[in-house]
Amino acid sequence: MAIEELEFRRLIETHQRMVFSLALRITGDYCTAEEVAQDVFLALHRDGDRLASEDHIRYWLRRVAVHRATDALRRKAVRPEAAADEWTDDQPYDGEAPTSAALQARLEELLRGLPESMRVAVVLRYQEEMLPDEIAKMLSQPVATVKSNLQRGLKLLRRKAAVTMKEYVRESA
Amino acid sequence: MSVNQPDEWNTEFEESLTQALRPVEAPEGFADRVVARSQSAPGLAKVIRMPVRTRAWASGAIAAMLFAGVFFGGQAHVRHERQKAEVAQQQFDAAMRITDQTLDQVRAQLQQAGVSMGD
Repeated sequence: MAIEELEFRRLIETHQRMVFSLALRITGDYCTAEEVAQDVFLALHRDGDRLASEDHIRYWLRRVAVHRATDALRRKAVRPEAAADEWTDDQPYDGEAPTSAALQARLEELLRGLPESMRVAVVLRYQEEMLPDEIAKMLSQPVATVKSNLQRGLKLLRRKAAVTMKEYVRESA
Repeated sequence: MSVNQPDEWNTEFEESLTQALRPVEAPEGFADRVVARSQSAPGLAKVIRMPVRTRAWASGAIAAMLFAGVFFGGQAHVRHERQKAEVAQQQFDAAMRITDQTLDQVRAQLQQAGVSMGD
């Protein structure tokens, strides 16, 4: 049996930020993110009566949003992995750390260039503030895989941030 | 996380990441659009599921039908094979009879012609 309209609307209003943000950060596209988020809530409307508690609903929404957004990303056939290797330089960056405000402004954009597995792990860790073992459980992956994706994702993001911010500083000087 | 940069930068970087990835607002009117979609095509949004009791009954019925099919199918196959064997036996008997008759006739003709068969 489907959820009643008032309850359904309450659930959407409570969780829409989380679901939409996950979809946006994973797909990297505003329109696709809205489509994915709508589909997630329609699935909740259909199957939500099985979900007993608010925590269960939140967990379910997170999980379905991640899976659907990943599917949408794959359908778009955008392969950021192709560009990933050029950034995986093991040499330490010897420049100065970019300023925090400028860095934040660039990070969301840089996130879109991460390979899918790293992007999902980073989004769940830093947007949803989930622990690696919680992410592993949600994605049905070994904890070691999640930790590796987080480490590599962070390293890649840091390098990209360092390089692009250096260019940014040079351009604006 | 193991990194090449100084620790203070790591912490600062992760803090910046957490700040940058704060949840954003859903588009204006998002909830209205989802509710409208859920009402406009409720048939499409629902997966028709069989009630649990019916599902159990149907599973039992299907299992019984499969068992009966296998059992009666096996019986019919045995019957059919037996019939084929009987027909083959009859055909073999008829062929032997004809051969015996033909041999008898040949033997009689040879005796009439004075040829000894040696028996």
